[in-house]
Amino acid sequence: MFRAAFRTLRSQFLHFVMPAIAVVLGVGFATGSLIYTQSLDEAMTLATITSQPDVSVIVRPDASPGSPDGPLDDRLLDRLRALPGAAAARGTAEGRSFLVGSDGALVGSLGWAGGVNYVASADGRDHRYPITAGRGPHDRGEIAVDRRSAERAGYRVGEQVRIVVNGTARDARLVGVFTAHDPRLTAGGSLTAFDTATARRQFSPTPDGYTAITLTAASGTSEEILAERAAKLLPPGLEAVTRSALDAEAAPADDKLSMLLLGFAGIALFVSTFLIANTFTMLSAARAREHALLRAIGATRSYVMRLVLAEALLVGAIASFAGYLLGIGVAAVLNTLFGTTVDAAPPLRFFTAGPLLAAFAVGIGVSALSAYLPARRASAVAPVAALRTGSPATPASLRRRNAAGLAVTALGALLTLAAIGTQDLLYIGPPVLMVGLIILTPLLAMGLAKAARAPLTRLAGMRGTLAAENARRNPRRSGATATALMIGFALVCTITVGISSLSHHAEQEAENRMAGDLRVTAVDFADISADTAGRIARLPGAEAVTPVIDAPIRLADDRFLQASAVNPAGVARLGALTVLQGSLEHLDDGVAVTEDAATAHGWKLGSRVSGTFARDERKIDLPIVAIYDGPDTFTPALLSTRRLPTARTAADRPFISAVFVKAAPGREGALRRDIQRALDNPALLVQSRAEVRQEAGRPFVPLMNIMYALLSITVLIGALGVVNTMSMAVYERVREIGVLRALGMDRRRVGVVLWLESAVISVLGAGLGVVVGSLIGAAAVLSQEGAALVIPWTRLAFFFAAAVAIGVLASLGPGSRAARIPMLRALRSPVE
Amino acid sequence: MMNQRIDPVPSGAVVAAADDLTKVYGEGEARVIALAGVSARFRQGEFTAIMGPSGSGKSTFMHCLAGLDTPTSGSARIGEIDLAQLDDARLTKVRRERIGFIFQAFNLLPTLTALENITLPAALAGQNIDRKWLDHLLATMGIADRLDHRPAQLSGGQQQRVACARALASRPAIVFADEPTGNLDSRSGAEVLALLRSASRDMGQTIVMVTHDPVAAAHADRALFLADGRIVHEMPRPTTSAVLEQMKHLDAHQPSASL
Repeated sequence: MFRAAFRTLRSQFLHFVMPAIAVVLGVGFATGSLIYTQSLDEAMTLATITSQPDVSVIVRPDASPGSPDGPLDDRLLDRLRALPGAAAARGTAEGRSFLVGSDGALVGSLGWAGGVNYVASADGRDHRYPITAGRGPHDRGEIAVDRRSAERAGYRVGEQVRIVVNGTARDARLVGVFTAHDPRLTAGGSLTAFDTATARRQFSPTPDGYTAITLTAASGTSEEILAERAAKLLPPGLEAVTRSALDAEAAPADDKLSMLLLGFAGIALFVSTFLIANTFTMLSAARAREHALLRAIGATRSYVMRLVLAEALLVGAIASFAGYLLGIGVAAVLNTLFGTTVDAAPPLRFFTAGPLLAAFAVGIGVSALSAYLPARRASAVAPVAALRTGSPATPASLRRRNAAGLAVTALGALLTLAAIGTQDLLYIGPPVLMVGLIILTPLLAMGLAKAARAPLTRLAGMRGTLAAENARRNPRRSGATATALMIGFALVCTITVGISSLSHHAEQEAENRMAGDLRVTAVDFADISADTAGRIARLPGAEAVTPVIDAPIRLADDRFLQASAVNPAGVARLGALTVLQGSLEHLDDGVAVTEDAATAHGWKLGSRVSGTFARDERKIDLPIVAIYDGPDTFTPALLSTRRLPTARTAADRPFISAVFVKAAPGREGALRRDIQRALDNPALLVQSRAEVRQEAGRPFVPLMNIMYALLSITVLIGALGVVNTMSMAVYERVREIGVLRALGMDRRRVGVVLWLESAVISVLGAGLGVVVGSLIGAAAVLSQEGAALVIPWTRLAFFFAAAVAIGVLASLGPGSRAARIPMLRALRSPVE
Repeated sequence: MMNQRIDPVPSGAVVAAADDLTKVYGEGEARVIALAGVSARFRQGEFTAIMGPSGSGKSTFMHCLAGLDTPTSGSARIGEIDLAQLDDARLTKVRRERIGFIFQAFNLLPTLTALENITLPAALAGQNIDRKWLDHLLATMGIADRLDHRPAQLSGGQQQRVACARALASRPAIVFADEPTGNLDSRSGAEVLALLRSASRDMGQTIVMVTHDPVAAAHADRALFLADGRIVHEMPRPTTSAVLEQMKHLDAHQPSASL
């Protein structure tokens, strides 16, 4: 069986090239994703397991809200250290600390920028952070950083370096460089070590406290027992967690990435099934007589079917192998692609059982599955066909398929429309719509070709007529080819419309939240220090300055009021608010609420807002002094920063979301430079109104580009499908081409006929894809409350043009092959 | 009815000519001489049958003369044009404008209607067909009521008549017919041959027909007999029996010739 299949493969080698490439691409994408995500997971897990080997149990504040955290202080540390079975205990004071590189930019992945305390033991060393150069930090003016970050930042021991802690940038002397096994470093972050006193001041809720206490179990004591013993000592609000529980928490949470990658790989594979099915259908038709002969001399139906399937299995196996090799390359590309965003490329593990098995299962499975229907059709050939001459049997009618297609498409369209109101339908409507269209493509292919006949004939004469006629002579194949293109372009357009709208929405939101001329915000994961607004206010040309500080209030009726604390004078001078009733003048002694909030809570001017600050439960009871309307940042309620409870602990530190600044007329540029100079903190962004808008849309650009990159494989397979179809057309029509050449069609025109046909198919695929994709994207956007639909017409038009261009380009190869067909041989060709 | 001058006597101008045509395939051991120096003249309105056993070179001769193949040496002329001097593009142009073809396997384009097939060469050449001439032709061929049909909907005889109309429609200088009755039953074959005969006699169409069927050859004005790449005999006004006799003679010599 397989020997026969192998012989077919060898003799019909060229026909299997395109389907094999499609499988190779799909398998390569899938295994590449698997290899990459697995390597990433393993690297992260390994880093977690090997990190801080001295930690057996960690004592930390538990996550339960409400209960006041007990003190994580030296007394507790001493008691825990004295526990039987505890070999050592260590107080850790950790938080965020950013390192500014010598180029002025923050170093490493910001989400993983850590500040830790250096605990020198008796020998002056800290085994958790072994020093490789210099020594450990002794006081506030000294720090040590991890070796990789020091290299990236371009710092040497002894240099003054700049760091950002708690929203303030300051200089410190780099006294040491260390190595550490720490997941933060594996993830591409940086570690800055301070002496314990400094670390506690910076990171601990109380100056004599810690953020956690870690215990090392003595040999013979299990983590569980140690944790149990520790738990007995703990005041409420603290918990003792074993190391294994901690590692489990750190287990790779990035399943989203692998799901995303595998999803796209799945789409690519799905698209390649059309290509494979096309090829096997064509070959079955071309070899109908051969199969009939086999049947005539006694082969069973299932034998013929197995023969065809064996070919598919062989193609799948060979392509899977090549696909796996490609997958290694894909993994490397993904590693650098995503590695640059997290700044950490894990070592890739190329040969693991999982991806290898998956590659072959997927490659062979996809091939066999796509070849199943053609194989069944091949086996259905009547033995008597071996004796018949002339044209092969006419294919089955499309009537039932068309009816089903229309029904499913209509259902899908309805569901997609309905999804605008009911978001859940988004996961059902568009797929159903796509399936409907896939069923319907033969009809659409026929319709389009029929409609295109007259204009093409006017445009290109006989060439146009022939192209249009050829496009509809095998509607199933034309449809399947268009489908492959359609899926890729539909996804591209869905994503384009969706992300464009999101991006626009984000920009609009940002603009709505903007007030004044300049805005100071912290980069992700960083803070604005409490004195920032004050420092800016002292600069010349700063006409109005106010911080915006989150101050959520739990009202007496248990509802929350997301109030913000501001500088009343600053807000008034900022000119961003429209006061409807009352005045901001007395905001120091009252609360201002928006009209909406007033309506929602039934407040009037003079009503009292009473409740507690959500942050620390302190009481508040103030009259409403103004009702206003203004940018989202300042809604739904304002109070004075003076009314904020003073922070008792570091944990109580108010969260300053932004500082807004109004410049004196004509001073915006100068003021902005002054602010940047005064703050000298790369973790803070000073932005104008236009930049705020831009900044909001910026993250969508790489997102869109990554999506495009992932979809390019699918589009590529769609294009290969067109090449494949046109190649098959040339193969089947060798004699026709010979006749046309004999009757006086020159080589160039033979090519033109082919590329016009290809263009018709591509227009169908691209047109369907762009229209359906945009509609689905629009439905997805409209289903989101408050999002405005933005249709990037030029981009969509570009995609349409690109798709048609792909189709035309795809026909060039087969076209030139057709033109080179030796005429006499073509005329003698037995192929119908 | 038409402006074509009817000249029943095949003594008009030379429309096509071959001079010492040779065609050699392959090299060294695999060298095969298909044509070993063939010369012939084809006059306006003349219907010539080219006969010969398999491998005699009759198809190669036609292919070279029709610009489908290029001779190794010698010249093949259509009118004043020496085909041997032309590149592919010019050859294509000559085929398009001056030559008509009828094939054994009909070779109609399956996607086009009968009428579209007939007008295909003119369309390829960007010419308009004289409508009156076309109507006349269609009436003569007896396919006027089949024009909207696709080849698959036509019988073999009807298909070949459409193919004849296609070859004649643009009034080419010369029509080459390659075994035009080879795929037809005897009645349909006879109809097609009668049509070719009348095209030559009544329309003054020069026709060269390659065949191995003595009955077909008997419809021609003359028959040329090829063997081993040479013209071995020319027979004016061939009859079935005379052709048959000549063929037997050739077949008898064939084995010795090939040794």
